[in-house]
Amino acid sequence: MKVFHQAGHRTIWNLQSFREDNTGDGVIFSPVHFASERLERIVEQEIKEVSLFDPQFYVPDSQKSKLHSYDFFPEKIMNGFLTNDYEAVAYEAAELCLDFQVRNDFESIIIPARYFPELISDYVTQQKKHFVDPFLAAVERENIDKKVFLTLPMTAMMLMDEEFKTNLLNWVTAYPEIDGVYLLVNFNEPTKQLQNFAKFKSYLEFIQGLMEAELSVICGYCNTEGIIVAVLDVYAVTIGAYENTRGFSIDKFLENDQERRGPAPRIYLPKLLNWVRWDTAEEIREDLPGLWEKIYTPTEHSEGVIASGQRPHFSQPLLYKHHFKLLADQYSEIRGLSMSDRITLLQEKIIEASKLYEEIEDNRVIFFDSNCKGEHLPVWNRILRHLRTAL
Amino acid sequence: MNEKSMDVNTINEILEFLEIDLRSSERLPCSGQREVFLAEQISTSQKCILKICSYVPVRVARIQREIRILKNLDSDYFPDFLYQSFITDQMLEDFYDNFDPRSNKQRVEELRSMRLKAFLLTVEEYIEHISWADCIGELKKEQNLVNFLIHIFKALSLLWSLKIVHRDLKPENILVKEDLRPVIIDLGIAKSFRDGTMDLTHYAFQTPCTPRYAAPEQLTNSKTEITYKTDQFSVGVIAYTILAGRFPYGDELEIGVERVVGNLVAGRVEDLKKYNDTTNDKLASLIHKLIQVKPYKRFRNADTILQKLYEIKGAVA
Repeated sequence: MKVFHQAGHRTIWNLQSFREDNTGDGVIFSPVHFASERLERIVEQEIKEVSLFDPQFYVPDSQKSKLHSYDFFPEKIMNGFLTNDYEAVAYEAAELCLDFQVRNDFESIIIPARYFPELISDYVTQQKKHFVDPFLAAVERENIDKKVFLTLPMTAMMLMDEEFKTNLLNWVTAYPEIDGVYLLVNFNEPTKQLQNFAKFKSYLEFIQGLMEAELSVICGYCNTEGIIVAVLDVYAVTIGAYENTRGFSIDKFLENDQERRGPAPRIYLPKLLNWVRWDTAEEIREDLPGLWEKIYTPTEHSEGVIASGQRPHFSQPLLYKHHFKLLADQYSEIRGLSMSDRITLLQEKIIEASKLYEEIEDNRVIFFDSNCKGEHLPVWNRILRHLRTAL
Repeated sequence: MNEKSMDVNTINEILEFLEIDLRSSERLPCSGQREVFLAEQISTSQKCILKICSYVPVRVARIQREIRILKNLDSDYFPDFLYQSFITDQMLEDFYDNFDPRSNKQRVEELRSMRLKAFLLTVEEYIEHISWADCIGELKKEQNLVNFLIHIFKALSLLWSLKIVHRDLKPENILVKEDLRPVIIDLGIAKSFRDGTMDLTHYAFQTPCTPRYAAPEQLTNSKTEITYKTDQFSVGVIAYTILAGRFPYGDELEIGVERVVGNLVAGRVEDLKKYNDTTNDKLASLIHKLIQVKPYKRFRNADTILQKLYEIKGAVA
């Protein structure tokens, strides 16, 4: 199982972490955040060779300027994307996009797909006609000897609809030329950690369906729940910095996402299997050093923040690099184990995290942000129990 | 087709008039909407199969597609394509005129009453084969069945690599040679050329097919789901029936189509080993995977199937 950096805003942090801290096995580059010329010029070939390029056709008429630096992006190639006319340029776009991925010698080829928020009846037909068939034709023509992944952007509603889900499985498993699926799910949940049991279970079942059909699965845009997904020994999971790389949505491809406020600084505490607001972490560190000792895992990055005496800001890299390092370590711990042992280890971690949360509560520490609480833990524990029964 | 089916004599008269180096000897069962004759090349005495199809553009286009496929395949698993010719209305008029109206008045009237219309004539290699009734006993032996399936999937692998789905695999479309090697016939026409198929098509099904061997996605006409996996299902049914002596989801002719559909919807299939308890476990499991109702649960490519079959071959040897 590989761990890719899901690059986003400030990809440079991911690259630094990959180079300097040896976190992850590669990077999934995000053209909406990284212009074409820059990607070709500043990223070393050794990194590209172990990395992936996600063409991000999710919102094909996106006006984001960096996407327009790629000549194959639908809005760019058509000088104004129109669904009905796209067929005319689909093969040219596919060829250019494939050329780009081959020229940069990325680890595998990713076939893009459009994001549809609704359960539309012609989902498969559209993805096939506009993206999959043109790309597969180009792959065949150029005789590409790399793994080919098909992007599958879904909503939780699609996962939960048995018929729709089956149709998608029937479709994606019917291409012998495809090696795997780059799976992205917009869970559309109000909480930061995935704690909707039904959605999580459907997600894992879908992944199992793909894997039983001998498809490799890259689970994109993972948050901490990726460590539960890792039980299935998928082809890859991802680690990301900002929240929009740890949960899939199309907001970043829309014009108005700049208006959002920056996130409150948080620190990832692997022993709690969660992110905690910096201010609460500070409260515990200063007032309850014994407890802090138990919940905190230091890295040079987090120590740097503490030593600075300054409240960190979301635009600074240290806490994100701290997260990359510790989550990558957690994945490394899981990687070598059997499925059953992975479940056991994670169940132990959940019990440990729950006990620590109890201790925090016993010490009358109040989380002002409920996302920092351990409410996801019982759900994850139940998911693990189900996974064990399915062994 | 023509108003009346063409008889051997008539086709031979036309062939002779057009100086085509063929002579038919026996009428065979129709293949789709084509009339089929056993024939031979006069100059070489080589047996062949002659098919005629009325000149309806959509049918002709499909036959030409089949011809292109056969020409591209160049494999012992499929018959060689030998010859084609359009017989136009003008040619048929010339054919009638060729008869002396004084001495052959009655014959000309007979021919005119047949109202022959332009047709496409195609000729394929004749495959010496044995009947299924004669080979079923041999195919029940696991070693033979595994070899047979290996040949079938090698053949299908060629077809699938050309993005072609047979869509109507059934014993009638698989000729079995003396050495039990199969030859697959009637390519790419299943959807619209199956008269016999249409006869079996139930009101519940929206697409022509042979329900006993058709995959569920064919029965429900789920067009986007009709892929090479559809052929897997049919081969699975054939293999299951060889070993179990019954259809996996029931025979619609015995239990009625509603119950078969009910069994398919519920994925209710009897374990093959219940009917043939000596079946190798891996072979039974392979067959069960082939006949999965949901296409995504079947195999994803021919290579995997072949690899498993070779493993089983080693085990049952």
